[in-house]
Amino acid sequence: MATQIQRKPAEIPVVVETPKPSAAMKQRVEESWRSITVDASPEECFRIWHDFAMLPRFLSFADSIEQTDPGWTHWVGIERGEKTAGWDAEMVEDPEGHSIDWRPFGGVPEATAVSVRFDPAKRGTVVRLCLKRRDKPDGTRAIRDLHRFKQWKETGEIATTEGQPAGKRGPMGRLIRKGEA
Amino acid sequence: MKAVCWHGKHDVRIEDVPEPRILNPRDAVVKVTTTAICGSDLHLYNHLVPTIEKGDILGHEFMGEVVEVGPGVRNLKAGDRVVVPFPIACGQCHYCRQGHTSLCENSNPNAWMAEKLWGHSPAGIFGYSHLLGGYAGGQAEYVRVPFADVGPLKIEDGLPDEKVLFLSDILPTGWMAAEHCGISPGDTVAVWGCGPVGQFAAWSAFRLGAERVIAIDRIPHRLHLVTDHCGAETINFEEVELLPALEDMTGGRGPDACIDAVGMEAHAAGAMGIYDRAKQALMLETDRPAVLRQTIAACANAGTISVAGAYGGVADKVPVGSLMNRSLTVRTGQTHVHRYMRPLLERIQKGELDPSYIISHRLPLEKAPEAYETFLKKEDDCLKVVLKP
Repeated sequence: MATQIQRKPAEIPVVVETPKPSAAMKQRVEESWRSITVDASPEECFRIWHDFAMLPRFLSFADSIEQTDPGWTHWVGIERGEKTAGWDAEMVEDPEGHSIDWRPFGGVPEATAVSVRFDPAKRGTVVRLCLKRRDKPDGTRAIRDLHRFKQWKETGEIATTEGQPAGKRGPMGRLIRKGEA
Repeated sequence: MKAVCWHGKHDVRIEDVPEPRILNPRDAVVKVTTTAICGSDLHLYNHLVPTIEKGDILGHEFMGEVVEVGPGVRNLKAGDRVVVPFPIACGQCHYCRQGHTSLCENSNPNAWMAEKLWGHSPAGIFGYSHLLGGYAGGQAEYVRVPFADVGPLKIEDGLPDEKVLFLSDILPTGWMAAEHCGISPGDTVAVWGCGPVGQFAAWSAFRLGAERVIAIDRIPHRLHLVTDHCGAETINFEEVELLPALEDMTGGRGPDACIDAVGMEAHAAGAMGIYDRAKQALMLETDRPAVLRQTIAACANAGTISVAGAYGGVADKVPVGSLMNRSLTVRTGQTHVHRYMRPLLERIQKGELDPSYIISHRLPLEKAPEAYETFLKKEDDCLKVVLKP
């Protein structure tokens, strides 16, 4: 008797969908949002970011922020130790405390749009920040300022070398490090 | 005050600079009583580490007397004698809490720079480029110590500086290198480089249960020391071909663990040595990974490569095929000095080790420029220079 060859059932093509990045994540990548995990609750982070006297401590481009009207703030920037022109920004907050956006109004070149998000995570809060000047995102400044926020929140101080001694600087060094002793 | 300042390749100078002051609440200012030149300072001296700038004060191995503390420092007071760990750590972040203090998330003000080069940033380090924080170092009369409530180890029993100074870096670095080997009883550990870290790695490997330690170098004086003080067997790679010799000594299997205590400026003969020097000169690779390659080639199947020597950038022709196919494990990192200081101090107090045997030169701080040159050229059996401000 001839051996019966069992035929495999016709293969059904299976389309496995590769997981797609969420639309929100894609947008964050395109807009150079940066994120950091901070050992604090989202509520605590939101509170600090809502304290306008506190913000210039870690937002390196801001000299001062004042509330002018409900929902409006006036910002003065700082660049290379000197104050820049000021700008007004509309403040939009999430009532649940997950986000704050400051949208500049008017054409001041230094005006910076700030968007911050607070998401609870296993080890604290993921704080995401997007900084834009004339619609151009600045990811490097965003991560620098996020580090400053994390340092301040977790250690009570912001790591610095400003004011420490140094030997004679070269021409480049003199330009970059004005604040040295 | 006087400080050792970097000014370019093979150019360090003694300069008069202002004394440091408290900048943050958790700072202390320490009057340096003894400091040392580290092998990794030679990478700066050879200008192989990016983001070092003219005028930077060098030095990350130092100890001294506290002269001032910020309002946030309650565990130290003026007059305390302290050894300061070379990585700066906040003690509170995710990594510090796990004991990975050389990865502190909060001590590097230039973390963004390191992130651009390495993906993520490690901790800030004293006197070791702006990439690692740009902190003024301890080859000076005074130094500012950030997070002084976390790092400095008090020395209260009158042990001389020379016996405890190396708790700041090289003794814990040697220990961690050996610990990373995951030594089981009966293991053979090979150590590339018999500089101070290699010496202490060999000593530590025995303490952690190695049956044999094979130490590798080309300088006879260093090989003698590692035999006399640590009990290691030795190979002088200028007298015998290294890999066959190691194979012969380990019955064809290779050492169970290989420690790279050399890093980015390995001396290598032959075509590969020329290849690396040429590429480094053309800035096509930053590091000369001759030792890393050898450790991988030599290591026994399923063995461990422990990298203690410093690397900075990118390196070519690392034999990943050997690494992968033979189940090798690589462990590395800047030393989490904080977690090793106290247990190692206890070993020194018990007399298990007098680390001062490695000191070959004792000089005043003003002699630092000559000392760097002597150390670079390994003249006069130079193994370790300590400087007295």
